[in-house]
Amino acid sequence: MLSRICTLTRTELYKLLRQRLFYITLFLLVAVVVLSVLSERLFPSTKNPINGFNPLINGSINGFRFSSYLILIIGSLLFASETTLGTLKTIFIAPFRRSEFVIAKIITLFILSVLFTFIIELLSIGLAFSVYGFSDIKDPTFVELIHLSSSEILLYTAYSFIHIIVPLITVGLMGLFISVLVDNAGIAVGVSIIIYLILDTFIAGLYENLSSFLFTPYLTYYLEPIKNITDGILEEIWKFELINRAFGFSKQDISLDIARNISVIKSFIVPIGYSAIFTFLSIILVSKRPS
Amino acid sequence: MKQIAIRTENLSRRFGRFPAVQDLSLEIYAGDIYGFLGLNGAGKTTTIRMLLRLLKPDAGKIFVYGNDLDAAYLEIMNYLGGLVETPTFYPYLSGRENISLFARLRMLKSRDLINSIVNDLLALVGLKERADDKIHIYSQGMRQRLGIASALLPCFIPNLSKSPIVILDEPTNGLDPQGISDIRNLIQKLNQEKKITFLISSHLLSEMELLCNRVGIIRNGKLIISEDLQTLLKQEGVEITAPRRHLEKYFMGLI
Repeated sequence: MLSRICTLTRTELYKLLRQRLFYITLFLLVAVVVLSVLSERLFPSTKNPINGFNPLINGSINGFRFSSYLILIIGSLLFASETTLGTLKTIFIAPFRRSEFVIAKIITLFILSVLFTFIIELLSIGLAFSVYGFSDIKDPTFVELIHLSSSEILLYTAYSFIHIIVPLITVGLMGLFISVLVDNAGIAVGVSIIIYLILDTFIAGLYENLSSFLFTPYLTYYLEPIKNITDGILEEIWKFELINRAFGFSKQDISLDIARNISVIKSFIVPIGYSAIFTFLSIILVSKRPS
Repeated sequence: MKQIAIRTENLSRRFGRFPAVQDLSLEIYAGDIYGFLGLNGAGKTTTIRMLLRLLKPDAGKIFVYGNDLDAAYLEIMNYLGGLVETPTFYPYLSGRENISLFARLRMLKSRDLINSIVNDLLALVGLKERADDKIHIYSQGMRQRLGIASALLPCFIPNLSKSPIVILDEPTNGLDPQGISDIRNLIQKLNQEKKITFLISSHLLSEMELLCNRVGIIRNGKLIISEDLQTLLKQEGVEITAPRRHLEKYFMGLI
């Protein structure tokens, strides 16, 4: 079974690498990250001196927001394009289980998510460091008390990037699930984007209580504290928030600690839960569908 | 006694209220070139899709070399090849790349072996010269030839446990007379030299008469006859003469 899935994944990646769409996607992603990081240089704000962490985080957040749409579109096309082209009937005649075919597509989405994350991470850190440099962040009022070293923030940022892979894959899996439901590739992409916008903008934006049960807010969940810090909203609580979010413990009182630990767990459990549901439904639907 | 390559037992499939295939029990012997005939909507393609497991039957069983298709699916699909209706490929890949990709899906590991099989197949279907062109510039006939090449893949895989079976749904669709003649010769050659079993559905009765040794006729989803072609024609009192191919010979002579 493993060798069949490996073969299928290799052919999926081969098909992806042979399409212009993939290279356009990479180019757009790089362009968004570069422009976001360099925006401080291109359109200088009043901040003085500029700490590289601010452009780094802006570039990363914009990059991840944008990459979530790219992954969504690629996920939507992974299955629906096969239906539109009519290639499914040729593939399904090969000696594979249909579930293996879906799993190969999911692995492809995972590889793409990791690739996008590394591109955003390396590009934003490298560019921000070389253009602006990194320095420690201190609260002007409580310099001794509140002092985040640049290595501490970098470590946390790297951790955030790794975590973001989970909700990023979930977005792609939602696209894949919709593409299994909708036979036409164009309609699948359109429907996916509309549903994603509804989840991300309307439901998560309007109903704060509901947002923690959606997977979309977790895309930038770990980056927001650093954004607040680098934007100058430096409170002691954020230091603990950083540590707490990253490692699941806190020096705060127990009730706050529990509440925060729950949100750390939730930030993993919610996207993984959605991913499991989308994967399960996609496999069931593909196994049952006529070709 | 001849070995049975494909056997169906009371195969049925409905689309809504419409019974596309009803209680179809069929036997195809190893080494047959079996012509599956019927009018449009008679149930040929539905049957073929069920045989290739693209469609699940509502009732009935399919056995390939005595093995239940549902139970031994992964093993059976190794030696089962097929083409259903219009062949479709990845338009951004060349003909060679498409066939190589489908060859890889047959779990062929060696790149040299894949290249050699793909070259042989492309030469057999007359696409060697255009193998590196992208699919989107292929004519319908060329796509049809490539579809046949992909269906014939199991015939070139070494060390299969059983002799391959190839199921072709309207294989001569979109082919010119030269193409039809080439494909007919190819099927006969593979059948004789490699003992490949073929199940072919077609509207071209004259072609089927030239090609097949056994035929089955399906009407309104029911198999009304399945018989040796010569026996069938004798039963009907048809005078069997050498097949008439005067126009084809004249046409081939001109081009």
